[in-house]
Amino acid sequence: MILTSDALARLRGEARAALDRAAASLEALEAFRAAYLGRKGKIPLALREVKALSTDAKRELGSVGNALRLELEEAYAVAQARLAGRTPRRFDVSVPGRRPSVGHLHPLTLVRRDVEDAFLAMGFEILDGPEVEEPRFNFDLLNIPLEHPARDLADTFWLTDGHLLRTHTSAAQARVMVNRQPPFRILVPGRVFRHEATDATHESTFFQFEGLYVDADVSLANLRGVLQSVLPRIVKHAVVLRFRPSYFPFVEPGVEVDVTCLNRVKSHARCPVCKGTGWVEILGAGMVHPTVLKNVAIDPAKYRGFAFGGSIDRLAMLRYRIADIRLFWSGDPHFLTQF
Amino acid sequence: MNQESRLHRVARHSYTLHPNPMRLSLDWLRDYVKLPETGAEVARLLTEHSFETTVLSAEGGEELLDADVLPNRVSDCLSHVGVARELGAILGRKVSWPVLTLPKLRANKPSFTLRVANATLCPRLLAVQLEGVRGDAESPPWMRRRLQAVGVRPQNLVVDVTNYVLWEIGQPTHAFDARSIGRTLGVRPSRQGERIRTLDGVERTLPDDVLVLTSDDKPIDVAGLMGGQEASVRDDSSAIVLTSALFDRVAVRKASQVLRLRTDASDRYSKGRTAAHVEAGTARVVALLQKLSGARVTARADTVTRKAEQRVVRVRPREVSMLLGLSVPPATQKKILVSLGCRVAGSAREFRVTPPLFRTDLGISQDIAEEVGRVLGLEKIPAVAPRALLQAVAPPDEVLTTRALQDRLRAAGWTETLSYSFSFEEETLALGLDRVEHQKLVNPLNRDQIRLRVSLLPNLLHQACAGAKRVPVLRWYEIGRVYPSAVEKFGNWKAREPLRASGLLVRRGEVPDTQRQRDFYDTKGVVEDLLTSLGLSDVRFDAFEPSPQKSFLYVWRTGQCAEARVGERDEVGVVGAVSSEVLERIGIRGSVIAFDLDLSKLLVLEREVRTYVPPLPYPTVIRDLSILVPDTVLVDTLMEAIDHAGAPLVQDVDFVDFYEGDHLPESRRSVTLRVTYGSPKRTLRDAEVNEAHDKVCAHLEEKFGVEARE
Repeated sequence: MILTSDALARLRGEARAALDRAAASLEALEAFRAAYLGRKGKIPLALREVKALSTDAKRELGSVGNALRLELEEAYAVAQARLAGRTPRRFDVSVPGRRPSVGHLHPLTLVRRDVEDAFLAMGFEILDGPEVEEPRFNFDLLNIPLEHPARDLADTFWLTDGHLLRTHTSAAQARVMVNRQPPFRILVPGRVFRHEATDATHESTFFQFEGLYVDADVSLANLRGVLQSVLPRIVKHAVVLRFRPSYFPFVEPGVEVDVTCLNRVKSHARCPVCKGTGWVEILGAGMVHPTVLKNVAIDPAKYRGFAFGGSIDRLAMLRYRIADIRLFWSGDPHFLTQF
Repeated sequence: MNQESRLHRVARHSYTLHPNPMRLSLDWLRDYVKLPETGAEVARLLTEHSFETTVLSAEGGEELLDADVLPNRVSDCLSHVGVARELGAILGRKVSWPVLTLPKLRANKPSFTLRVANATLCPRLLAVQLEGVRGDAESPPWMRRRLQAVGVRPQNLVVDVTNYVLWEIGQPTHAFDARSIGRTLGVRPSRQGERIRTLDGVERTLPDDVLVLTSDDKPIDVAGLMGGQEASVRDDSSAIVLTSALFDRVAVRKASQVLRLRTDASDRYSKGRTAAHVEAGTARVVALLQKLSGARVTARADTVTRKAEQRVVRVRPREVSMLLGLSVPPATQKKILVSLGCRVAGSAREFRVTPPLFRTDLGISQDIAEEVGRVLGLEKIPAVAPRALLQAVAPPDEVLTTRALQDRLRAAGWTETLSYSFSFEEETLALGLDRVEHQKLVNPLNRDQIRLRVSLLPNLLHQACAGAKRVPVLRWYEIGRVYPSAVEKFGNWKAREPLRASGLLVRRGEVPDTQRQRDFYDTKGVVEDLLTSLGLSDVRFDAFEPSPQKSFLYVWRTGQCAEARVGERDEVGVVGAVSSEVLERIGIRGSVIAFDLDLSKLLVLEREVRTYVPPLPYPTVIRDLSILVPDTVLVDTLMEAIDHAGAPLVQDVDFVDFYEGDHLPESRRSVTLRVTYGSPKRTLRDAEVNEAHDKVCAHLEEKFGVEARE
């Protein structure tokens, strides 16, 4: 007999009918299994005949035959289980698992921890200073002269008693230096304030981190050395550093630190993050100005230092591609529960 | 604006930078130095060696750059020649200069005398009289094109030349019709109420102390900002008085703010010019007018006759190399400095560097090191790990504790939020906190910046109010500083800015009492867990009654809040329901349970060192105790009493359940406690346990009037 698809269809009808009849008792079921699915049963025999067919027919009838075998095996198992009194109920494994109801950390906390940990691993101490600050720490000791625009009412929140809300964590840097002699390496993460109307890119309040390293033979090359080792850990991305000239009153030379764009695209020609330049700004930095060292009674002939500062908010915006800085302070539950 | 470009613009890092934009015409720059083909390449060079520069669109054949000149370079680089000099140094190419000194003149004294009221506010005033000018002449097309390219509207030859020189040399100059200058040409602060119609056609009434130029004491020009219409060059002008001056930059900046007037001139003056600019600007205007219209100088007057003293900076090339961390041969350093216009004398051991007069920023050897580093290319500076002592560092206690609390709260289902250090006004008032003294701001931008927060609760409630509209249940907290109005201003800052941890469980809508009670115990449980996790033992909660001094605070709902204490005296915070008056006032419909902990205080309390307790080697027996308790008896009193009465067999007393309801006798609660009996020495017999349990029950009955329930 030559196997045809008709023959297979007939065999299927016959087997299903036999199974229906056999579903009444376990003995009958066993007889069905031996007759159809057993080693010398009708199905395996039919499948063996497939081997003798031409290639095309083999492909077609082979798959039909196999499907038939699986179908009958499953139907047999169901019938057997039903008789044995245990229906194998299927789990809908696509139903979402029941998760523990954990809360969330603020994205600025997450980034801040990364910054702290990266510098701790390099032996930097973590310190902080007051947020309500005296002008001398925020400005005078840092070589920011009285007529500097930053001291205007337009840039700084002033308190009625002559104190101010620190405009940068560098204020804490000045405090630390007043009270210590080198060598030291410190990191100051903290809240700072700018007297600005808020919009998508400006906030009255944000987080900064400030690093300071003072020792005998410190150089700009050391600044690069430290940042090169730390920044990839913070931005979670292998990056190349670039220094560009910049200016801040409390450092000389002053540099801007860029890293290669964090947007993972092949070509940055149209990259919105780096605007096609391939670089994003991460930090302001430089060698501590000798006047600042003198102001805090550190001998600039004996010691040099480097300092750097960046915005934690900006790092978080770059990491999570957040376009509106105000979200950090909004308390929007749909925002906070994403982290 | 799309989201991504916003991302780019965001406050970029820690330091305040005030932008000093300078528009540059590439064609113009090429007058002075040979440049690479493309604007993009020139922009890259400037960005990497001088300041951030981008290419503006090159429409109309005029290729433009937009430079953001650094604050220390505004004296020389808000000009085309300044930027050309930069590029010359960067590319190592020769820069060809226009002549910037006035030729020696056999000029007569002018018909007017100069009168400067305050030489500090105007250190130099230079006036030159020119004849043979035609007020109605037009400037040549190339000049008009360049002016238009940088955004200046061409007018007539005289005005165009002064504008051209402003953009070329960076020095503003101003030409008056010679007929409008009387016997004196002066500079003085204005007197309140003086009026002048400026060139923009606006009639301005001046306040006190705005610098003005005067003719016979009558204002004809707002110094450093804009000329007056009356004395301006007219079509029929044939003789002009050209003035060039140095004004105090703060004075110009203030005048610009007061008059709300910003011009190309004020942008430059308010950032500082030098006495050298004054002469250079005049020299260049004169040269151009001579060339383009055949004008000739007939008279000259100057308030400064001595030559400016030149600053000399002593620099050791070796120290430059050490500061940069890059060895640069002295000869290379010298070459760079010379290319920037410095004169360099001295030996390879120590240079004596005389910076050009325009470079006010070069004063110390570190400044010179910066020039060497950036012209050479900061990318050449290698990455070198510093040599430092190996020392173990640990984060300070408040960082570690804050992290531990954050993690604990997160695991308990609470979400962290952050809020401003200012106190939201409406919520501050609603809580009655306005009766507490606050530190106040001089210059708030809105009413929610009037005061610094003394509690985290107003801001949390503010956020909750909006948040509760979006999700039905919120559990959130903030850990942050508060800023009480301190008596002692100069003591330890940590005492002045205590750290607090506060949270809210907000449930929206009609909340039944039983649910509110559950929320209270959930929140209290979280607080208990936090305190225990910190290693604090002997934590107690007492019913909280605000002290008479604080009775104005409306925060808490009477009878539904507890004060947490560690040991006998240390109050560390409060847990409780927020009063319905407060919720109504700030518009939250629902129930709010809050906790408010003094983290600074927790940080200084003694913490228990966790040690191991051996597990009992013998089985324990558990007995549940269901009792009816008068509602004056507190559960923790009962638990303590059981511990006491059942000693030594009672190993543990746990709270199981609590019920208050209609079918219980008057003022009784049903309480179920679980007592664990055991002994470290042997397995207890049933009889022993029964005896101990009976004793406990009898004691409770006798002492507290509790009854057993079936």
